Amino acid sequence: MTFVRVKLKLESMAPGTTLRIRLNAGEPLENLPRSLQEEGCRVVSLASDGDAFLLVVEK
Amino acid sequence: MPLPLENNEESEWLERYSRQLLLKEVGGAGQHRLGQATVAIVGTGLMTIPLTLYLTAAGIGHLLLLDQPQSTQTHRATLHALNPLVQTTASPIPTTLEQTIEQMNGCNLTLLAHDHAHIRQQFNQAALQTRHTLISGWQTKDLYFISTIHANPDPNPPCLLCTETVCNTFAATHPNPHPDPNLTRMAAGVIGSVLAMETLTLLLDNRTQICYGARVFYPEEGRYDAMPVLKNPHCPACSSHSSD
Ligand SMILES: [Zn+2]
Repeated sequence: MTFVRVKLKLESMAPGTTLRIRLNAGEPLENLPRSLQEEGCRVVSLASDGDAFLLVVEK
Repeated sequence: MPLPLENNEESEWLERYSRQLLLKEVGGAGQHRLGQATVAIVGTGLMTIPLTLYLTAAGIGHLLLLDQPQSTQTHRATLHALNPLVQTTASPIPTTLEQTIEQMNGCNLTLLAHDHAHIRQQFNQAALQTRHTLISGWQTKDLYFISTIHANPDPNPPCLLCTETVCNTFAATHPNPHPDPNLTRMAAGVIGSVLAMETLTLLLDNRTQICYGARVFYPEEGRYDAMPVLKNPHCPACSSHSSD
């Protein structure tokens, strides 16, 4: 469901703008960066953020 | 603010429509457009069953079922169980042209799946006056027809009567010597599904797949053909509504 949520958010964003996504470890962390790259987004950074991870992508 | 945001109502919406939201033809904006749409369906015949099921599953905001309310009550319960986010209302078919125009003005689209000629022409007249899009499916002899009367891109398209005249003449001159009643019933289901697809395309993209005429469906062969229709300059319904 995280992917659907992120895709909806990206739909309303202009190309070149960035989106910060807080992710839990496990399935979302494994799949989301790759899925977003397949959608044409650029992964700007992925770093741990407390007990979760922060993914920054550019549309 | 970092995503994802959690909210129960939004989560239910996302969960229910997640597969459609991922389609580039729908997405978030398209799903909202479907959710804000009111679609009227005239008739309760076989083809309206898949038609209403698909439109309900797709998340049309409001389905207005125009026929005798008692005959649609059980079906409305089925639709509610399928998708409680969709509102359905049953109402009798308007009896005057003025009421039909009023009904049409309150809807984004009207789907005509009723066989009575006078009801079909009442909705045709209302569509001509309001310039609203009218999608229609009907059976003549052993053939099924689908048409969309849509003012875009043709500003002055042939009306439903022009279209029916061509289609019904075709059906009369192409009789099926061995019609299979089972196939004919199944064909009603196929036509209902195609009407649903046409409705969604129009609501999402303001585009019709059945422009410039109609489609004929041959139940025996499971095959469609285009049925070109020209505006009849002497049509009793639309010749006086010409925008030329
Ligand atoms: Zn006409």
